[in-house]
Amino acid sequence: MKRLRDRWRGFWFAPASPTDLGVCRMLFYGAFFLYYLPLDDSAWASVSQVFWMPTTFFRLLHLPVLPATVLVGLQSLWKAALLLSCVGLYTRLSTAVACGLGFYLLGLPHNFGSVLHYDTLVVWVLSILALSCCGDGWSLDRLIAVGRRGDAQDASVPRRSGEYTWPIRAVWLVMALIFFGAGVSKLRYGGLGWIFSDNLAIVLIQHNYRIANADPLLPWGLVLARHPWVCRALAGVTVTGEFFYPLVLISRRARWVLVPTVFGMQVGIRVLMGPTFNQYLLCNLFWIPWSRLGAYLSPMRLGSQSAAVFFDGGCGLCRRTVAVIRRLDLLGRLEYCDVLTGWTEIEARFPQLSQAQCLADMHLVTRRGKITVGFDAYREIAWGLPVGWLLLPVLYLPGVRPIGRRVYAAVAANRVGMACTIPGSAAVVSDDGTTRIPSR
Amino acid sequence: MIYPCLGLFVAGSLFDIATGREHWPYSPYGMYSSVERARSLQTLRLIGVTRAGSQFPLVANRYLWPFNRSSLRWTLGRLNESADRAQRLPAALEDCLRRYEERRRAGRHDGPPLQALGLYRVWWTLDPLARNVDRPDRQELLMQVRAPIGGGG
Repeated sequence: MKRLRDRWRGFWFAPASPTDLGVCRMLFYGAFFLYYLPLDDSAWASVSQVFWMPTTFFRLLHLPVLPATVLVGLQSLWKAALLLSCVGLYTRLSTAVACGLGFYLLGLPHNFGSVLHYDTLVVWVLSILALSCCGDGWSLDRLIAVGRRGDAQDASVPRRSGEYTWPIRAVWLVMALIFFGAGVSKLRYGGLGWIFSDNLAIVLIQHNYRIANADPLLPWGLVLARHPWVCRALAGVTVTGEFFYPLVLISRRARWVLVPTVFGMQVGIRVLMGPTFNQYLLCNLFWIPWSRLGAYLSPMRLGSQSAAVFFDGGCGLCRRTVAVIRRLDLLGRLEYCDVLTGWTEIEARFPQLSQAQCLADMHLVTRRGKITVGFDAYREIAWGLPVGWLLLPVLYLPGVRPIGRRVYAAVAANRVGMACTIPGSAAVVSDDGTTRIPSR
Repeated sequence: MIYPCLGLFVAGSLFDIATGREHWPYSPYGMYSSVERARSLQTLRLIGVTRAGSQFPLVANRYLWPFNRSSLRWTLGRLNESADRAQRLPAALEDCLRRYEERRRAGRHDGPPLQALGLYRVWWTLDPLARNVDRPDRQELLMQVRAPIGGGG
């Protein structure tokens, strides 16, 4: 009994880093922000009331069809909430708004006589993430917190908690029940005849008669329909995969078999029959162990550390900047050297550097020994950060370098004044405005 | 906090699965659960009558957006079987015709102007290559509405 209880608790609350949940949050909201960007529910406001057949929750909550202008506003707010949730800014609020508005906007089209299921999973995942601490990893909220704390060393150490496990498991549970329900329905209403008759062959042909919301991508359904045993085998795989899908909750082997099988089945439905389950396909991202994948694609595989960054550990601004860069250094391409506390070792490894210069400006030394300073160092850093790759085209535009150098110089001049305000900052500002290193 | 929320989800889902009832976003997910045994197809279809008098099936989603042909088929099916069919079905078809013409005039589809719109029950004998997709074996008019005089354009 104790073993069972431990296993149960381990399933839901095994301590984990915030990485998996954070990456899932980012990809889920990012994918659905893009997916729903063209969504426009405002046309429902112009549909005659004769079609209005509210679903249970819309009826109980007295949710009406709002005027088109209000719907447009709500949609914009919802999409903004999805985007903010993706980047993890004001994550608690944005995920709650995305959930509440998502329930209304995604639910609205189902109140006009036909209740479809393509977005139920999205609504459940929005609810789960709104209740979770999904903003603790891979979020701007986290980066801002790290930047404010300015703790460059501790920033890379993730906290582990069961709070980062249960939301992913809950999404698994939702998917398991959805597919289990579909499997049960087929066996309940169709029986084994769903598998062993010509049912699937007939359905494949019927869907070439323009009855679904979309046409098949390819006419291969007609080809398959000519082979009854292939259709029966596919039907068998479908029902088996759906009915036994809950096994994925307790068996890793089942996960390896059933998740790709049902994923393939939904792709097959789109290709051969037409109905679209893009939302379900996207939600499969919750099955991917992102932190393990990241470890697999670790610097060892992508190339070792490519450069060393030298910063003034006594400068609050520098420490905060490095803390943020360290969080963004997903591939571990950079080495961070505090010139203030680790100079003895640095001097031995990099005799070409001067401590005074490194304290004055951020320095970067590439693996090939090339030294860059200030803005150029930041530009070099951008090569090592996946987020920085997005900025590279801008950083190398003509004219950007001189502007960047001036901005860097201005910030560097101001950082002296900022250093004293940062708790734990070791540097002391002299009367002449320069930073003085305390003697050790 | 988490267990009660999960319990609520599981209980609701199992209730819908067990009863086969629909409480969106809970659902028994009964799509495609029936067994098709006959190599035939019977469905509802909206067919317009052009000004030249020819029939024009409204099968593209863009004609009656935000409905798509699948959801509209289900909706019209429910209205056709409702107790107040005589009132609701013509009103629904008039709304469809108005929507079609408004979207046509706004340039959101390239369909022809319609003078009438009918809901038909349509039958096919399935062809292995779906060559008769545009030629149903039989169609039965369930309800038709006409565009108001002077409408369209």
